[in-house]
Order: sequence, then structure tokens, then C-alpha cells
Amino acid sequence: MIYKCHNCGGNVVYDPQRKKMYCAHCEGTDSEEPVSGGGAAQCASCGAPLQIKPFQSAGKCEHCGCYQIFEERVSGQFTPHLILPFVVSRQEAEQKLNTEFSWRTFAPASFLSRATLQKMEGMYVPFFMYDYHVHYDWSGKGTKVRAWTSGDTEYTETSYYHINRSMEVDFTRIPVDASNQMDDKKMDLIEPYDYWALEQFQMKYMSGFFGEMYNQGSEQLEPRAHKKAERDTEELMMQSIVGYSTLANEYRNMNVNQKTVDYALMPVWVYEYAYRGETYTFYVNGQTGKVIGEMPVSKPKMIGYSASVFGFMMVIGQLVRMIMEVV
Amino acid sequence: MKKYIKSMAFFLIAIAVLLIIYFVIRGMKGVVGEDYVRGNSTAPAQRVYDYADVLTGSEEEKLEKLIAKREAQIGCDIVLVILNEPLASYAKAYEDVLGSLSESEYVMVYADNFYDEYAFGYNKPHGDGCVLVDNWDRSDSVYGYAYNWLSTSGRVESRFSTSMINHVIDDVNDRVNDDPYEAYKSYVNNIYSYMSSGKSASDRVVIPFYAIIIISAVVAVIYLIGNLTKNVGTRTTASNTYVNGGKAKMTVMTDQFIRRSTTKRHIQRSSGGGGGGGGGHHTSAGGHSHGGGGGHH
Repeated sequence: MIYKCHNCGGNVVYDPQRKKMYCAHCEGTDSEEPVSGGGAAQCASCGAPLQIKPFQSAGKCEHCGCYQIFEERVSGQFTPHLILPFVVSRQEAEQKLNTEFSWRTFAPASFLSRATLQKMEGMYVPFFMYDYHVHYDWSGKGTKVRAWTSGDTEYTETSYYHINRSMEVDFTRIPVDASNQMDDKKMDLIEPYDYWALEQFQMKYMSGFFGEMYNQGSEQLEPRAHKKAERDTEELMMQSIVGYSTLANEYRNMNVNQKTVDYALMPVWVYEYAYRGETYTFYVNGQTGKVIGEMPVSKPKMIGYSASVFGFMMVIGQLVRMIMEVV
Repeated sequence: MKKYIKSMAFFLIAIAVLLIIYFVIRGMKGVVGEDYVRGNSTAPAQRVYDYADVLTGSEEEKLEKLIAKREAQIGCDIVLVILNEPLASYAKAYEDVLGSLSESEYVMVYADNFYDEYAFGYNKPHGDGCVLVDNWDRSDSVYGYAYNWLSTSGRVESRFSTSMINHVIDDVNDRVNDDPYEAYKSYVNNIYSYMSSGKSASDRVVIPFYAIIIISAVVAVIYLIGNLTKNVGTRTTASNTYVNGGKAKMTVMTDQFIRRSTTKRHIQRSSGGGGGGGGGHHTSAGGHSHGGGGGHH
């Protein structure tokens, strides 16, 4: 289906800056009208055939540029509970990439060319969000060492303690991406999102962006969230045991109970840059603007810049030498 | 190009700052050098007296030129006397005034008298300056030594400590047998260095050229590695990011003291060393005050 403008018939999309539905054709706002049809096989506007990836729930017609939403992939069992609408606009995402690029000295000059930037797309990435209740018991021995000198004698005092801890931790919405094409590590790094902006799912927020439905069920992905809960609990425990020179654990018991799970769509700008036969993918958090990726290195720049540094250092060294001679 | 200048800004600014520092210091030193006005027309213009013919004519000329330049910069006369004659009988004649003299002190008597008789001194006769007398004759010495002596007067006398004098003498004696010209040049430059900045010429840290190459290469490699990191973005979640209320609820939190043990260790302390000594000052047969010190080669 497609959102059409009831004034002019143009494609109405969600505009993060206006926080409204916007028709670029007649500059009208909130003039959207859902027009169904086509399905995943053809464009609901011009009827051209669509190239749709297996889990894709929203996309763009290559022919007329209209943004489509495939209803059957965001309804029924695939209905997301929550959606975080895009906050960062395309221009802002470009700016974030630009800032990142500006201090990446060895990045190829063509990194942010107009042509490739135009292919950057906003994407709603499927996430499962897990709630946990964790109970953790920890006990062990710790020592505190104090040293001081009095006259010609150095004293070392070692105090031994028995440490007991029990903690209850309630985790809310530990996110795990449910998209196979998104790199797990990069999706972990793009966190955190500010959950205050989460809303009940509304299909119109997807207009103007790409989207995916979950690729795997919440049970299959649960172990990743479970691990995060364990890691965070362990860190919290260690933060509560402070001031000791040495620590030795004697007993530990962690119970992780999963409570509920939410299915949410989270905004990510995806920028793909091809350099010397390899594709480098950058992600910009669609809410916070945080940039994640792997920057390609231009060898000519690397050599040229390093040689320049060498040359300038030689000049600096020579100047220092000259100054020391006249001092 | 814009990006290149931006990346290299630090180095370009550093070069500009160093250039300014260099020219400012040079300018300041130049002004200081002009402050000294010669106030002595009694003393001869000659500074290098090579009675032993150790130096060539052109070497003497070069030394005279160097001395003229350094004298104007520090306002002190720098005199060099090279002898090759026994001084025992000459010096012994002064023993009734100066007391008993050892073989290394004969040259001291000669140096003091030489300075006094020619009335050296930049500011006035018998004023600021010094003379190095290097006697190549070894017949005075039971050990076969060739003795030399640096006699200091006026500002040079008050400026130079024993260790500074020893340093000047040692620098000369280290190379005088192989290259007398270089040795005497080091004498002139050391006097200038100590008088102008309190450092000897050899104490001045001269950075060798290979060190500059190595340092530059190291910096370039660090720069390269530092900019090679490809990963963009780091973890910005904390352990409590997804914790309800941001904190864990501690139901048990006890730190129970069990016992304490103390160990003692005796600290060995070394006793401190002694302080330095002062320069030996004396009055010459001519009645003028001199500092100084000597050595042999």
C-alpha cells in the first residue's frame, strides 16, 4: 500500500523535522490517504514490478520513487507493538557522517560524494526487547592493604573481610535486532535509544523509509538478550564491591527470569559506500545520530599524509636544534 | 587541499611558533652583545701568543677572529699563550712572595703575571678577562707532564667556579695533543658559553641529526597508526542502561571484618653526600686578584 495526498495525489511521507506526514509535491501536511493495492509484487502507484527482499516490509519503487508499505508484513502476527519514529532527518544524518569523515584523515575523498549519499536510506530495523528479573547472590573474601612508615620501619597491614551480596535487578527492554542482514555487533553499538520516544505502532511512520519484519522468532533470539542481562548484572555486582585490593569469589548464583518481550521497529539510517571492490556500511542512529561503521583507508592519502608528518617533524627538529644553539 | 591543511595545522603552527622564537632569541642576543663597551686602551690588541709554534699562521688568524667576536659578545678579554720552555727557575723567584710552589703551579705564576703585565681586561686595565697558558715543555715535571693554567680576573673570576675551570681545562687537554687548534677553540667557546649562559659549550645539548630522523620517523608512524583505526563508534551503554530505575536493589550487602595482620620491615637509609667546594682565589705577585686552575697533558 501507499500513502497518497488527498489534495494532489503525491506520495505522502513521514517528515522527522516537521514530525508530521508531509507531501513534498504540494507541501501539504497530514494529507495522507492510504491506498492499498499491488502487494509485494508491484508498485501501488505506477504498477511497476518491485524487487523485494525476503523480509522487507517497506521500500521504494525504483521506477516512480514512491514509498510502499507491505501491510501483510506489519499485520497479524507480524504487527509490531512499538515504533520509534525517525527523529534524525536525511540532512542531519548526512551531517553526522560528514563530521565523522572530517577527522578521518585517511578516508578516501569520495567517501561522501553526492551520488552515493543519495542512495542512503532510512530503515526501520526489527528489534525484540526483553524484560528480565535477575536475582544474584555473591559471596567471597576480600583484603584491604594499608601501608605506612614510622621512623625507619615500614608497616603493612592486611585486613580480611567476608563479603556477602544479594541483588535484585529489573531489566526493561534489552534490545536485540531481529534482522539477519544487520551486523549484530554494529546493532549493539548503535544503542542506546531513548525509549521515551517509543510509540504504539502506526503504519504511517513507515512511509518514506525502508523496513523489515523480524527474521527470527523472539525465542530464537532470546539468548543474546539473556547474555546482555548476565553481563550487566555481573558489572553491577562488581560495582557494589569496592575498596578491596584483592577479591576471591567463593559462591555465586544468578537466576535470570524472562518476563515479557516486545516487538519494536527502530530507526537507522543505512549508508553503503563502495571502495575498491568492497562495501563499507555505515549506520546512523535515527534518533540520537550516533554513527557506527568501518571507515575505508585510502593508501595514497595514508602514505602522503604520513610522509608530510615526517617532513614537518624534520623541519621542527631542525628548528629546535637551531634554537638550542642560539640560547 | 583544505583537509590537508586542517590535518597538518598542528605542525604548521609549531613551525611558525619555533621560527618566531628563533628570531626573537637571536634578536635579543644580538642586542645584549652590543651593550659592552671596551674601556681599556692600554692592553695590546693581540690575543694569541704562540711562542711554541704549535698553530699555523692561518689558525692563529682564525682564533684571533673568533676571540674578537666572542669578546664583544661577553665583554671579557680572552687571551691564549702557548709556551714551550721550562718555568721552574722563573717561578721560584716569586716563592718569597707567593710561598712554596709545586711543579703544576709554575705556569700559574706565569699566567697571572702575563695578564697583569699586559694589563688585559675588557672594561679597564686589570679588568674582566682570562688567560690560558699552555706550556708544552715537560722538563719541569718529574712525571713528564705538560702543564697549563687558566687564570681568571674580574667578572670571569667571580663567575667561574672550580668545576667550571676544570671543565674548560679538561676540554682543552682532551684534544690538545691531537688537534691543538680545536682544543684552543673549545677554550674560547667554553669561556663564551659559561659567561653568556652559565653552560659550557659541551654541556649544550646538541641534538644529533640522526636523532631528528628517528624522532620524526617515530612520530610519523604513531600518526599513521593513530589514524588507521577504522572502527567508528564505541559502546555507549552502561551496565545500568536497561535497569529499571537505573539501580540494582541490594537485599544483602555486608562486608564482615574477619582479622587483621601487620608486617614490619626495616628501611635501610643511606647517609647523604657532602657539598661542593669553591674556586681557589689568590693574589698574584703583581698584587691583583686572580682565580684559576690548571691541568696537564
